Amino acid sequence: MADAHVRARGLFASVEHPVLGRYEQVSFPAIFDGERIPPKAPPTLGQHNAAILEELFAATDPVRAADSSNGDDLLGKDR
Amino acid sequence: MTTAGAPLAGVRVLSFSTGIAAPYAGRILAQCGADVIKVESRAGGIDSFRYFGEGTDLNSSTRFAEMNFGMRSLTVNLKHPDGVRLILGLAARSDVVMDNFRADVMDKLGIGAPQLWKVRPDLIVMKMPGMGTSGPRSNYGTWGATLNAFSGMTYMWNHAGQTRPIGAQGSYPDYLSAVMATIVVTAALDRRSRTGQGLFIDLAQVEVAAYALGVTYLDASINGRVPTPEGNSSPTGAPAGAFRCRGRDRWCAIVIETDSQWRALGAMVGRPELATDARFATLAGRRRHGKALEEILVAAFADLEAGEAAQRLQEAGIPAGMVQTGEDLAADPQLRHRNFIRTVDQPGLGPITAADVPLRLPGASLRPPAAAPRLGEHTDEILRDVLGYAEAEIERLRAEEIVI
Repeated sequence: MADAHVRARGLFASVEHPVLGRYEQVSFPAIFDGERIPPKAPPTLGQHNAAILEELFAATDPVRAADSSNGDDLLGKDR
Repeated sequence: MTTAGAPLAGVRVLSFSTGIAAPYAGRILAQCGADVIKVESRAGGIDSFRYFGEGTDLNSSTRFAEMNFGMRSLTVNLKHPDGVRLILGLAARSDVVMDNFRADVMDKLGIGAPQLWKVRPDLIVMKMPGMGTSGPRSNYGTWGATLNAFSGMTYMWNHAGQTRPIGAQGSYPDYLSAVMATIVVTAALDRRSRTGQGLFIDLAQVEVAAYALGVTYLDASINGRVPTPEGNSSPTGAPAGAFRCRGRDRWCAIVIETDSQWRALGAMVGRPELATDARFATLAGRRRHGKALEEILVAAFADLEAGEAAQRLQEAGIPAGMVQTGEDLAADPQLRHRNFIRTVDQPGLGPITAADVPLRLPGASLRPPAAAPRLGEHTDEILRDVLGYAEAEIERLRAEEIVI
């Protein structure tokens, strides 16, 4: 992980994880048009529920989208 | 050479390739229906695997054949300006140009990405040198074994305390890179169909290998654990390893990851008392008393027949498998059932047994592995049918050794 060649090519990238904090991770190996895609931390369980549901309803049901800020509620967890 | 209904029918790939990584990527693309034209040159540009055959016959290598099934072969002298012009003409009629030479070779020949984009602006150009196209070691020549070593694989798969590292016959970085190459080329083709844009792909084989070792690097990065060789043992399972069975060089491999698997194991290997031995009740205990446990299991497996034992363990829900030889693998009923082991009629070599690509696409017809091309086998038809050259022009190119 300390290798100069590997460092020069930016194979390892720093990632911020909500639980684990900051750590280094191997990036996707292909470089497209000279740009390395920065890796993302894996999601915590259900981290994106609200965002995905909002996106979904924004396309099909704008009224419901306004109420969907709590994704867990829409998944029925509170019922 | 394209197949209607195959996912990449109508796609043309020019492959400047040697060894495994790029050839095998081309083979997968060919089986997915692409017209893959492998470009070689008798003026110093023959795939190294062609030399693994009988004597000086460049068409008798099974190693070459299995890496290059289903392609067309074109031989052009790339050190002649007319040869370069020919390739640029072909690139204008292609979708992908890929190579796994050293990073600077294609540019030196006059067929680097800038020259290629002049004739085909939306071309996908993929370079897959061992170390990539940038960085202090970008000019390294690499083979599978050196990439295994560089990535950390060679170090990691040894047993603790060995006097020197033992590599593997499998050139994993090559095979992993071939699969990754196929994925990113397919993604680039999809992107081109949406945006109309070509793409430059820099795929370092060593980075693909490192990507496959991601969990090991994460353990070092997050947990601060310096990885050391653990042989056949496993951090998530105990016992884990291969145990010698009856017969010559026969082994049964097991990995026990759960306590219920552990409780089932003893009865299956004639040691029912293990299930109630307090030392071994938990994973931590089995790791702590690993040496004692290993001695018991070595004795228990010694009289078993490996294949039968593996089958019986599987039936009890225990992950187990016989350590198979190549012969076992080729005859394996599971692989045979899935039509994975194929027979390819390779001219000059006769029927050869080969593994198919590990892909099944229900509803889309993949091409079965077809014979690899003889050197220059398709030169004339490519010049005539793809480039539209007249016979007289083809004769001139031959006479002047531009097509050789």
